[in-house]
Amino acid sequence: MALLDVRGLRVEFASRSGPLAAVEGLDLAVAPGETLALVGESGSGKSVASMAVMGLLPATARVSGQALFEGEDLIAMPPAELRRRRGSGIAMVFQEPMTSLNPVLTIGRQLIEALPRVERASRAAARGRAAELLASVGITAPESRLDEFPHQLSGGMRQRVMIAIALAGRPRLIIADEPTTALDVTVQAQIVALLQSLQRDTGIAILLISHDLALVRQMAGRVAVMYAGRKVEEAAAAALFDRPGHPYSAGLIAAIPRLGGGREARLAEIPGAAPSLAERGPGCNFAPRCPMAAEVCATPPPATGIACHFRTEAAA
Amino acid sequence: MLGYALRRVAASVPVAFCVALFVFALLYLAPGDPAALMAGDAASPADIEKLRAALGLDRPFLTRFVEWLWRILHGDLGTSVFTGIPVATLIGQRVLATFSLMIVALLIASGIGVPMGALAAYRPGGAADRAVMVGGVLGFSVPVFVTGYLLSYIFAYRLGWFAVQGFVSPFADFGGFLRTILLPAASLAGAYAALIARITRATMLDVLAQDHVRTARAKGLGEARVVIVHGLSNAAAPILTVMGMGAAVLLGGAVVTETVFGIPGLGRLTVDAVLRRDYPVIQGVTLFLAFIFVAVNLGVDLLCAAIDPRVRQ
Ligand SMILES: Nc1ncnc2c1ncn2[C@@H]1O[C@H](COP(=O)(O)OP(=O)(O)OP(=O)(O)O)[C@@H](O)[C@H]1O
Ligand SMILES: [Mg+2]
Repeated sequence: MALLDVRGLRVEFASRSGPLAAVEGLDLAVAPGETLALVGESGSGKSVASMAVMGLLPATARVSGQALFEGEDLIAMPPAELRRRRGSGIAMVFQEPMTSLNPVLTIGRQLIEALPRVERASRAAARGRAAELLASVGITAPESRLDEFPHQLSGGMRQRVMIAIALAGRPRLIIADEPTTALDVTVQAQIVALLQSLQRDTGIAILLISHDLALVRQMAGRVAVMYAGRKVEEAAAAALFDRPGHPYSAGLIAAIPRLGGGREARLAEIPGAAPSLAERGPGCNFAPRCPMAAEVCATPPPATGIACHFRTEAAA
Repeated sequence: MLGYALRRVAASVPVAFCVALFVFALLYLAPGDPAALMAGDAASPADIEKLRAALGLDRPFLTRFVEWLWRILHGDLGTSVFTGIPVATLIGQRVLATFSLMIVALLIASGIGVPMGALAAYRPGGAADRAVMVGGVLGFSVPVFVTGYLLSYIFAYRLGWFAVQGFVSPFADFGGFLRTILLPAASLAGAYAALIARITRATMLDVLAQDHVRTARAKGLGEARVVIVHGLSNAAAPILTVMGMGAAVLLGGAVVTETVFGIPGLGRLTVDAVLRRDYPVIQGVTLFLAFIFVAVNLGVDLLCAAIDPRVRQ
């Protein structure tokens, strides 16, 4: 059974011209211990989908569909029950390490409040566990770091602290929303290595949200590609990078900057821009940018498998 | 923190000096001749001139200022020309009433303003938000004496729950203190509560949209903890700063409140002194209150630095 099984997830935001869907009919399944990557251009709905699963969207969002975590629907359950699963069942690591920590509380306080109740019972034990967590994400002198404030740490350190906080509740799944985007290249590599070693040691599942395909290729077992709020393709990472089925996936992969590729590598970038929420229609939303587009693309693409009228079944 | 505190205290010294200079200059430039006033209607011009020399009023501005400052530094605020009582003594007799009034008003105003402002920001457009909007307009626009007389009429005169007039020291009789202080403090708190609610709402609206609040929720913390620990801890510094500046609202309002409720405080002392042109008293009380204001804002700055580590570097 999948650890997280998202079925038909739909998220709408109210707008002056009526509700607009940011995510439509999304299905995702994350197995225990695996890494599933969710990729797609900016605005494709990756963050909105993950926040919907966590129940962290603002009240203006209308969420429907199912998000079964260990068989229980997170979307249908009462807020208090969902809250109990946050941190301890599913934890999140966000993109912005500079702003994702509370600037006026010490690292120690922010870590300790994320610990399960039993581990918070005694102050000394809680501090000990917090220091242990910091050490496990590769922070040196963890004891003294507990009393420091976020502004005293570098970006990479803060992201390590965010990961330590995510680990504090001993979750089965971590949703990492572009965990390395805001970091320097060398620090990115360190964070990736850290996530991989943590996964090896703890068997935690990771839903990795990213538009960095090089990172995805390195970390993920399976990849789901989103475009304009819908999943257009899902495949094992190796298969996808080898033989992308959807023209959008092919475009994304062609745009990966090759080592030493320099300027030419950028030429492969997909021309045009993704449609805004209001511009999306029932047909294939990628058609205006697609080299293969034809008349049939104005009709809804296949609802299962690769969402393309010209799909090459070999990759499915 | 200690370094910051010392720097901040040192920075208050020139401020206090400027305040003193300003207070002195204000009365130096004020119309009317204190010597003529003190000498009375029957005095001849020569008598007035003699009195002026005796009071030192004929000497240059700077000399008088330095002398005045010197005496103040030694705790001598001068003597009331009307009663002959030292100004420091007069202030000492009345400071408890005024401070009690202001502190109780502060407690009431922040006890209402902070939770209401936070609730308003938590659900913009909700019931609390609208209440803050309406309450804010009322709090700002209804004068203290209207609220004062209204509260006094209902709760003191009609219902008899509170005293209509006067002041009882909290150290002498705490029940009596509450019976005399609550109504005036409540009327004084109105505008201040509105100010606090507004700034709390605006700051919290900003803070609750910050990324770290989302992190707090993602950890599985309850909403109360998210709003109080993670929201208010970040909003505290701006709120406290505005509260410190707003202490001027309380000082101004205290004058009217003391008059309405017959409280023998510094406000009444000032009003009486102004009516009698009792210059040393006016000068002394004004200077005292200005120093209190400077001290309050210094305290607020230190408190902000204690709460928010980003301030103290
Ligand atoms: N609170 C909101 N109200 C209205 N629209 C929103 C809201 N949050 C997100 N959206 C819209 O939903 C769409 C999807 O946004 P989302 O943040 O999920 O994109 P993303 O795939 O995570 O992109 P990025 O790679 O830039 O993070 C965007 O068009 C965005 O404008
Ligand atoms: Mg995003």
